[in-house]
Amino acid sequence: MQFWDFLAGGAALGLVAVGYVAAVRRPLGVSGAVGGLVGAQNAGTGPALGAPLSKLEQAAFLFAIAVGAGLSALLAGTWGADVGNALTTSTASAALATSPGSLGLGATFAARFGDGGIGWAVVVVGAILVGFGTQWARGCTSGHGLMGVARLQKGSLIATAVFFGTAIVASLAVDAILGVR
Amino acid sequence: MSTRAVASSSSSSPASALRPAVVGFGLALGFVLSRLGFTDWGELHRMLTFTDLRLVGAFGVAVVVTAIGLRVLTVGQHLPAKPFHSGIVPGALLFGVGWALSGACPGAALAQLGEGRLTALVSVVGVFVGSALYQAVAAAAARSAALTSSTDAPDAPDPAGIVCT
Repeated sequence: MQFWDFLAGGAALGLVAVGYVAAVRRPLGVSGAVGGLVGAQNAGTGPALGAPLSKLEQAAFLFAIAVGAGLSALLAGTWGADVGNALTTSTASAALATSPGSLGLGATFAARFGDGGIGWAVVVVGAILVGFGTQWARGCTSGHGLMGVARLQKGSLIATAVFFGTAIVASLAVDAILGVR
Repeated sequence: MSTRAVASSSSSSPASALRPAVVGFGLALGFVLSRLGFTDWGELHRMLTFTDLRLVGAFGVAVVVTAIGLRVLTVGQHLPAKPFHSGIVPGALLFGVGWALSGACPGAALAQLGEGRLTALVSVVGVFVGSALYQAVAAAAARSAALTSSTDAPDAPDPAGIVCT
């Protein structure tokens, strides 16, 4: 897939966030919706705010994110491109030729963790940390990183500095330990 | 009926409420995350190792556009505050490590699933399991805090707190 450049892509992401707030009158936050579905309190109401997302809306929001991304991949002809047995359009075949039959995370990941059990383990452990950590911090890349930083919220500024910082350290450590550049 | 009464009545939404905008902007968010490459492990890794700053730039532009947009919208001033709390640093620390390893923030995990990436199956489940695990730990901590606190303090603090992201 040909990715959007930083200016157009960043503007699009910002407009989605602003549009969401304008229409729903709630802060945009993916981990908030995940948390709501696993039992967290969803609060922060006020006269000018819309109703907190219902369980159905939380589920529909998360499902819609997946569908929107699927639409993007289908239109680009890259749906399942890294997955050996996925739909093989001509673009997908070209992608397969340049990447090993990886887990769907591409050649960069496969060069570090392979496409077997270690790769799966890295993803599982990482994803559990993402879930636990975002609930503990009460926000993720969208709630803290985008919405909170844009509003210069103290908690979000600190959270974003910490998660970007540790992600950078972890990524550099992976390359240093595995000796991959 | 005053506006306050209208707002307070709308703040307790039925479980079956489904506003089309929630779905519409969810679709848009997934599409944009995919086209930006936020769902691509390699793109993310190149951002986090400073080999390609495109995604950093995109995030910066998104923050600026959001900041300006929220300033224009009156509702932006009423959004709940995101103050510092004791879970910010340890939570963000774990999230950062997990993000770098899995290549998935909660939104990106879902978007990866939509893109037909095989590992997203376990990423999405992992994010939910980790989230549920935190809620369980927080609930257990609240129970033990209630037990250790004196009987004249019946309402123990709720460490699960308010999730308003």
